[in-house]
Amino acid sequence: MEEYKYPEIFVRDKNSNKYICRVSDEYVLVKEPVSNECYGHIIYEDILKYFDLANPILEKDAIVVPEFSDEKLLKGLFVKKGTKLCLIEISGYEPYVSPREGEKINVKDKIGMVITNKYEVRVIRSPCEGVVIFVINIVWEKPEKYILAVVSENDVGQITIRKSQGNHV
Amino acid sequence: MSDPNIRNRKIEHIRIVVEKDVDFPNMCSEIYNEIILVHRAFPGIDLSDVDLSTRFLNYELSAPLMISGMTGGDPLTTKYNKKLAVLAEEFRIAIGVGSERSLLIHKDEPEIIRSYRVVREIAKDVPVIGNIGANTLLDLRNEDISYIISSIDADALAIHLNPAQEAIQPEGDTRFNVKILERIEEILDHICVPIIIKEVGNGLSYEDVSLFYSMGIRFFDIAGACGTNWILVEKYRRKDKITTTIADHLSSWGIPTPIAIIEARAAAPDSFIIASGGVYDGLRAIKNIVLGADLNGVARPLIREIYLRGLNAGKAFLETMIKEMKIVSFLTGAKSISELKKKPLILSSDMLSYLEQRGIDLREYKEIRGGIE
Repeated sequence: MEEYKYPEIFVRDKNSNKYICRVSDEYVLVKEPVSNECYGHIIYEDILKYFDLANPILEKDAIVVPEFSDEKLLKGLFVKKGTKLCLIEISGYEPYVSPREGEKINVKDKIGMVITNKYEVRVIRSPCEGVVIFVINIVWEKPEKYILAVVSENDVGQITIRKSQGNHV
Repeated sequence: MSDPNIRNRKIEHIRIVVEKDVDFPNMCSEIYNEIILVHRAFPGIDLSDVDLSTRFLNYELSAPLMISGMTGGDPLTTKYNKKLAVLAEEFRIAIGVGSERSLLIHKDEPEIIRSYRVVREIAKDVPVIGNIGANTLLDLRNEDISYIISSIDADALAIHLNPAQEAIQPEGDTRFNVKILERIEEILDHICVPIIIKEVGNGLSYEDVSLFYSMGIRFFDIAGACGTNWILVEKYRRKDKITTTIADHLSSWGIPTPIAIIEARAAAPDSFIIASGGVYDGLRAIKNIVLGADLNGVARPLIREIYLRGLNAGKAFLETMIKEMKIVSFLTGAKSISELKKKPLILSSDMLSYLEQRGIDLREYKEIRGGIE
């Protein structure tokens, strides 16, 4: 069976039960903080709490792991506090989003669709260019919605995260 | 894109469809019997005045009929497609081919190409419809789509939706997620012929038609649950008890053809609607037109005649069907399809109840059932 992969978010200085910490020039996944620069795991949708929605920026440094799995090495996307966000809301009776975390999109790219309650398809195109960093599904609101956060390609750092041998998660 | 069994499957499908009882239970006889067209003792026209010719994809057809896409993809299927094409050309009716996925898998095999291409080579003066499964679109490039159209000089591309069949099929591919809608959007931008969204025998619903209509598609083949049930066809290809039991339970699953016509017409008032699924005689075909269809698709009875009794039996079947359509039209006092669409239509209380529960307004439906003029 194919290994299950899912996205996870880690936020700087957040208390949690698992962390990504920077040790020397390496990022490691650990159970307890092991350095001064650690990022605590959060519930995915809680990343909204770290958005300044009025002037859309990220208020904390964060790491997104687009495909969290049992692999020993994971790929992560690093975004700094103060990074400008382009927020795209896709809401409707049945909303669908195509790009995943880490995918690059351009202005006018098709990024999703909404099936209305009259069973009509509305194609959603991107108003901005960059890398999709968060795809937040807000299922508790009606109509259901997705919020996509897109950042400039220059604001995303690609990191590799190693799972700690001695401090298993 | 590999599917080593695809050629065997094509042959098996023909054999099962012809030899086994794979129709829906009593083929919707009750529903059709309860749809009443008003008999005119004084039709006000001569039988010889009846002209059921119609336009479809810029061709003039002698009758509102098409031979639905059935086969192709193995050299053994060539003879059937050849005979079907002879009938289409002779009777001046439209024709489709079976799924062209095999064409993409066996691109270098001239005999496979010919099994489809033979249709266009013979049926030169009628619309020829290409065919591909919606669930395979995510694996195909735009060039593949262009290839399946150009290889038979198709006048339209039918994209078939067959989730029920795939769910029971041993090699079934049950990917029918919304990414397909995005893919169809891209294909619409890429190709120059219209897309026909079709079922294969379990019926298109209002919801299905509405989705594709909103994307700009204006051709639908509702393929209702009154004729060949592909769940039962696949059942004969299964060995396991669990799936064959499920197939038996689903032997009447789907939207009957007359109801699917109404659902489609309500969702897509100005679209071209093809009625297939159990259209085994001229009376049913005319009832479908009055219900709101623009064309009727015939499949199993024709392949059966050809397979068991030869080309002349296929000719006799179509002659009977077209003559019956003309006589029924005459008896309603309609000398053309546009007149037929305005004739009174009596629906059963069960159908009225169904429409009410589906939120389809009877008065509105009767106003739009004529469709495109």
